Amino acid sequence: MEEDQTVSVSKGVFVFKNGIKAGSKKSKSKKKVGTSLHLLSENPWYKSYETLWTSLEEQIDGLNSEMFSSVLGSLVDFVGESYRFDVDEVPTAALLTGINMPDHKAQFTSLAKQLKDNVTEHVACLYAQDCQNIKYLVDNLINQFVNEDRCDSDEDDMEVVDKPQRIKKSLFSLQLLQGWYEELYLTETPKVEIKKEKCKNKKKVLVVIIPDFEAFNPEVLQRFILIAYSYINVLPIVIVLGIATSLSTLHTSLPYHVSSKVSVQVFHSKPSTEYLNKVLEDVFFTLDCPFQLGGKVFNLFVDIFLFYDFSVSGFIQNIKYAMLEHFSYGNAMSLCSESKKEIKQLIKKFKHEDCENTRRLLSFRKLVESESYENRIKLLTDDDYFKIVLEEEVFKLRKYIRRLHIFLKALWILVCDLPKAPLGKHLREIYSVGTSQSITKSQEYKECFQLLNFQSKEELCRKIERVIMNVGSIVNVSYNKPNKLQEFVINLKAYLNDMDVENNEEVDVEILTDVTNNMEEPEISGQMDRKQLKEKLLGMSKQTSKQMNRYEQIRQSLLNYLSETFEIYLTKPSSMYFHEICFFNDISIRTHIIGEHRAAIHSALNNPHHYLQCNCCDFPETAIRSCMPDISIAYKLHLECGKLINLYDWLQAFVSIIDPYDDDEDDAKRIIHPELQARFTQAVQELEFLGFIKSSKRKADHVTRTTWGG
Amino acid sequence: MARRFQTTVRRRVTSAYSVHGSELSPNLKHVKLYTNECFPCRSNEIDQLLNLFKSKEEPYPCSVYVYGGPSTGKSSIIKHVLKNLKINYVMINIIECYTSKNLYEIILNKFSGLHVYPLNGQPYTKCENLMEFTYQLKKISSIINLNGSVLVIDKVDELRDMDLNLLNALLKLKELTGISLCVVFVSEILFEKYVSRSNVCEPIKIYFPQYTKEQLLEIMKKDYNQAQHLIVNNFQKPIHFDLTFYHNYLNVFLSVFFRACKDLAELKHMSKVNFIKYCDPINQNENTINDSVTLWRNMAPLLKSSLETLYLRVLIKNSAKSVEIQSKEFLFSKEKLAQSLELPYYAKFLLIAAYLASYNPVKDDKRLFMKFHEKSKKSIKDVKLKSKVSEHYNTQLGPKMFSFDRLLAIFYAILDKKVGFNNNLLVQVSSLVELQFLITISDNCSLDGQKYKCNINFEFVNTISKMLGFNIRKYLSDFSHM
Amino acid sequence: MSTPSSDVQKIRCYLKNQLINNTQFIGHDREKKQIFDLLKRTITHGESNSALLIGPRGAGKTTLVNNVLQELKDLKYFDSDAILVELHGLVHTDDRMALKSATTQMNLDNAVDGKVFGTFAENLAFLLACLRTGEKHTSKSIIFIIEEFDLFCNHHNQTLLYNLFDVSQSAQAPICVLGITCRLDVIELLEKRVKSRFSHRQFFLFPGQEDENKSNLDLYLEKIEYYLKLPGSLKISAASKKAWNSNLEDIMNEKKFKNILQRIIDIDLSVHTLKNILIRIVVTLNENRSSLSIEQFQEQLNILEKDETVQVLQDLTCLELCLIIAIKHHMEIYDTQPNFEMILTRYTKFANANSNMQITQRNVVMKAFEHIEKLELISKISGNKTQKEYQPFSLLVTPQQISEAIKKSHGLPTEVVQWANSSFA
Repeated sequence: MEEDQTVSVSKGVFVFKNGIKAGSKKSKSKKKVGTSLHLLSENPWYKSYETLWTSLEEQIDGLNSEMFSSVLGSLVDFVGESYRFDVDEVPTAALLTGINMPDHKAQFTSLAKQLKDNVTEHVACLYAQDCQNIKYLVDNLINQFVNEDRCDSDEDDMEVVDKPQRIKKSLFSLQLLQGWYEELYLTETPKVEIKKEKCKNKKKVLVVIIPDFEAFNPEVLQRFILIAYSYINVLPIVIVLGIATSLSTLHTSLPYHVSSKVSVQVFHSKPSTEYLNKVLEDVFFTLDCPFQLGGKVFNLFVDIFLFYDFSVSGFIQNIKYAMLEHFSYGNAMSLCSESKKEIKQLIKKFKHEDCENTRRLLSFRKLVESESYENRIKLLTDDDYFKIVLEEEVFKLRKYIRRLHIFLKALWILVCDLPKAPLGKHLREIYSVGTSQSITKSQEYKECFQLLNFQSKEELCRKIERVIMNVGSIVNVSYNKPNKLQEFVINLKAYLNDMDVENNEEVDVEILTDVTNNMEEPEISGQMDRKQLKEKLLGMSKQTSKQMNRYEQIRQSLLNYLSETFEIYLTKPSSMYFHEICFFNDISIRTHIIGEHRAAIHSALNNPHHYLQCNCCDFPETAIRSCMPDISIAYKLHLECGKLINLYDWLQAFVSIIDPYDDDEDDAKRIIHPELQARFTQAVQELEFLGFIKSSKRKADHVTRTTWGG
Repeated sequence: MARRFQTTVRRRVTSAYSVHGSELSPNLKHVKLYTNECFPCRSNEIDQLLNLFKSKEEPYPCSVYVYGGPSTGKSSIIKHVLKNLKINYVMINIIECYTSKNLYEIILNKFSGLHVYPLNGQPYTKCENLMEFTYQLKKISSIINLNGSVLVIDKVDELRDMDLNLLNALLKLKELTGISLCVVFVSEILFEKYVSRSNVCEPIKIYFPQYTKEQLLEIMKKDYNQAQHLIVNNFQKPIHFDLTFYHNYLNVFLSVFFRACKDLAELKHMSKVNFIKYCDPINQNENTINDSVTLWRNMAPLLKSSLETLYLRVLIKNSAKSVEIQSKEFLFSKEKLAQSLELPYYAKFLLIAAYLASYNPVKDDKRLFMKFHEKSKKSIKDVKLKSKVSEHYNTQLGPKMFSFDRLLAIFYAILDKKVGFNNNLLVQVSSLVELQFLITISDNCSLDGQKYKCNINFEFVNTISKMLGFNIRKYLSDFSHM
Repeated sequence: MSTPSSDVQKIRCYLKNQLINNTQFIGHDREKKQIFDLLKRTITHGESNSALLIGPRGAGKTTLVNNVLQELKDLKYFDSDAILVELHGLVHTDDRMALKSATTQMNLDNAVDGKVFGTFAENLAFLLACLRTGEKHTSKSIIFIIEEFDLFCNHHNQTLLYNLFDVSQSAQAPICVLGITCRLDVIELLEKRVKSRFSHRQFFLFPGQEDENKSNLDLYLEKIEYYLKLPGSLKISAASKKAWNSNLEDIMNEKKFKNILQRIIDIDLSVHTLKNILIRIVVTLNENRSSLSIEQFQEQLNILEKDETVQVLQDLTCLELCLIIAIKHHMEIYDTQPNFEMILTRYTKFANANSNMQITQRNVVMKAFEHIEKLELISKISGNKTQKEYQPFSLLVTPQQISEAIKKSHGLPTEVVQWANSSFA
């Protein structure tokens, strides 16, 4: 099916993109849409994919901006304040960005924008590659200051290629800058006192942003700082340094006589782990995000993040890829969409093959087996009946997901701060456990509850309150008729005020609890009062067996209640029918996410059959066949050579493989067919282009091999 | 261009004459007093300057060399004196002249008083080399009389990186141009650092010595008002303190800092930072202004700690109140350092591996990283190592070069769990290079033949390995025998 | 005795002019005569010549030549028969420039412009041809005064010098090349082809050797008298003038003064130094101090003798001094160049040993280290490029200077002093 193929074409893109360098997601998504729109757009699964992804994407963007806003705000304030009083050193802001906060550039551009809006229109952004030496730096700086704002003044000749009134580079000097600045802000007769005055009211500061501090040549930077210092009374310059690693680099690269000319103010942007958690909790772990990652895949992504690169955008790209993979399964997946109406209509519109496509899901078999005989027949044959079943199952699934998240969160609140957190500190860890297995069976879970058993009263109360608050918030917005969730909340409340009145004399309290339970829960499901019974029994048994105080009893019963509830809701996804529709758990994408391109290229060249699937060269890898592509022949030959390869010998070998007929005559008077030579040359060129060989200077008509071996 | 030059110079001429016109030679005594007022504890140096420049009708020496430590008031005093003596002077800072062309043009423009018009960058004297320079200078002098004017050149030590003999030429400027133009050089280093004494005629030297403790005290007392401002800005309720209080503080302050630092600017900065801390207990009403003893008691440790952040000039704004504290804990305590630097798990191990690779001799790799190695050799090595003096530790001699595959080998050796060799790992290395943790030595001619050096110090790597629960000393051949 | 302030001012003014703007050359009459004759012959008889005037800095070479030229200019036929071209090694940093300015000085710009010359030689030849107006004795003779002659030797294969000397040998046009330099080995700098064309006529100008039967001291005294004595022409009250001169007399006859002067001469006997000293003394004249005194000379001598490096060392902070000491010790123990790491460890050992050295913070010590590097008391060993901490450094001050500085500077903690003086680390 060619959908898959188009997708797998774009796999290549992703493999390289998810690296340290978090590329701009815009371009990528556009690219993908571009390739697939024309042939995919009509498929329902693609439609629902697109709607879902776009919604997620804008959520993420919103998150980005509000993540940065805090630190940027304080930075902007700093810049605004910097020249309120006359200064002795160049005010400098050091912004500690993580080693790869997603989209550094975006962050700094937004900073520049905010500065332009709030503080001053003079903002210059210097990148290391433009500033190899001080002259370039100064030219660049002045150009941005002087010429930019001229462009702003009149947009119309932005289009004109050569701007008439632009100042030539040759004239650039700090005198020019000074002249320009004084022209802007000072009247004639520049006196120091006046300047001081101006500093306070109307003078605008000049901001110089240096996003990549490490990449800069320190001498250049030192020189620049000294210059800025020597002009401090004339030009109010503020420097903003983006430091990826740590402050110590600042100190090592600025010697005494420079560092004494600046006063550095440090700002922190949030560490990217925090950022990841935020993204997960606010975007993917939400109640109405239908697409869920299965435990295995989720762990894989998290590992990539933690072990290889702290790049959140890389993480997001991975999820996106997973989504593609997921949806491209077929129209069955189109049911993985947000609104119920959608789903209803989709199911209505389902054609037969769509149903078949859905029936192919593994969990469907379980469903069938669970049914009675005639239902099985109906399920397998009768599409309408199937649709009905499907619909309700899907709604069940959605409900399940809602609950899953709610209770995972509740559980998290309870266990996150236990001593050496058996279930982990972060929500994502609990999530990964909960989605890969049924968490309540797990060893850690049991540990947690044992630990909870020793919790002091106020600890417990606090947690319970938080849980109530958390769940309650959702409950109120969601439904009006009392349901399981509300019961949950109510019961917890009951337990709470039990604890409050714990010191009263036992009996009436017990009654009280009953009363509360009875009056507040008119329609109790059978399972409910069973619970109550058990609870009572428990309480009595405890009292009889060994004297534990009231609180302990309540804690006991509370925990039991909790664990029961969790057991009900925190089942593992695979237990649900049609869980494949919402849970993506296909670990095979690992090979696409974590690229090993050198291995790939090697196998491609060394064993073309692996990709071409042609039946001609289906042979053990070692053999070299004339039917193979030229390049792979050349490659396999070059594998046998040493560090230096003699082109002529290579050619001989090549030819002898391509046409082995005239082996008998000796090489000397064999004349090589020009076509063969051309093909050889082309192959060699391709290899050089791939970087496996390069022409050597040491020996004539030899090439050097750049890979291992030899 | 030339025409405009002429005209503007005309304009300048009149103004110049107006300057010269005010020839009521400024009362020397007054200038002297005023200058001493502004720059205390410098009377001796000021006298020397005044003697040289005091009266216009007498000729100035052709070159003067003023030198002394940082922030001893060299440039500012010279500027002040010349200004108040109403001498026509030009002051330039070599720092901003990254080419000699630049230098010439700045001087010429300043002398001819040309003002650069930002709209078109004109009028602007162009000058490529010294010949043109002298020519132009004469030309200007023919219009504005430059005789008896002074050229002050700051940060002269930068001159040595520029054209050969440029300094010589400037020393002889008078002889070359025939204009009696006095050149004043300002620098931090000795004159003989410039040229071998023999082949340049020495200028008249004036030395600005560092301030003594008492002088510093006296000078710093002068920003009493500033301190008051500081208090007003930082505390809600103003504290009214008198000069003696401030004086006491300064005494306390200097008693700790003087040994470590004589740089006035630095000291001022530090005192500003610390004065707030000093006053803080008063602000909290913990004790009154008068009992300086208690103040001293709780100030001493703070000063000690802030002494450790001397010269580093880093302030962390704590959001609660706008007081800027200079928190040593933040800067240096290990875990904070680790926090401020976040690296992926494998990247950390790569870094450690790189460190080991560049500080261990290759021959030790077998011994250090292989699980089973024969004991006998080890013991011999140990004897050798024990005899090693600390100065010959590899950790003190600096990093050695190592190849990429050695790095990988060590990486896999120290990392107990199995890691796939994939792109993400390779990308890690390149990103470490990007962050200047590793330095690439060889050109990347071959894909695997890269050579690197590790660019981090022991403290740093030690911190990281502690975070990972990895005992790096065990793997460093310097320490492994201990 | 009291001299009215106006007179003092006049005196000061006169003396300053005498010292700074004075172009009158004294002594070395023989060399002066020779050079004068040389040039004169070129002008009058149009015979070509080349010569070098060699002498140390501040010996007054330029002054001498200027005097000679002045005298020549006074001759009535100078302007008609001769053209003066002055080139300066510092200004004319390459031959094209030199030739350009030569052209202007011969005021031939209008003749040259628009022409293109194949070689440098052609260009020069053309210039000379322009001056030739017929046969030899009527044509104008040119005098090249080349200052900082040695710098012209660095120009690209010495084209200018070659051509000038060549012309001066083959009598195309009457031309005299007079090079002025302070390098005694200047002849060695010349290429062979250039050297062969140079008439090895050299004048040496060593202060204090001009004639045997006078000691340097006497010459020096002469000079001082020449500079400081007030002439009759000066318009001030006779009384103060008399007072001044007599005072000068007294001082110069003092034995003590002579000793001082002798010391100065032993250190450096160039005229320039003397002038500097005199200037420094003269400028201090004012209402209150209207006359010279031996103390002032003594003072100047002290300044001259003082070791500035020690002065700088004294200005260092305790921490920086400690670092210097640490380096010194290191180099004494294993005479290798230490790097920062080693110094740090050595210093930290010391600081931990005794409590009241508070600072052990790595970054701070690094800054102090950078400071002494900036002051160029220590310097990087050029060549190996590693990061700062491991760059080996060498000490630029002698142990004697260090110990002297430590002796002089007060308020150092005693243990530092002990550490400095302890021979072992």
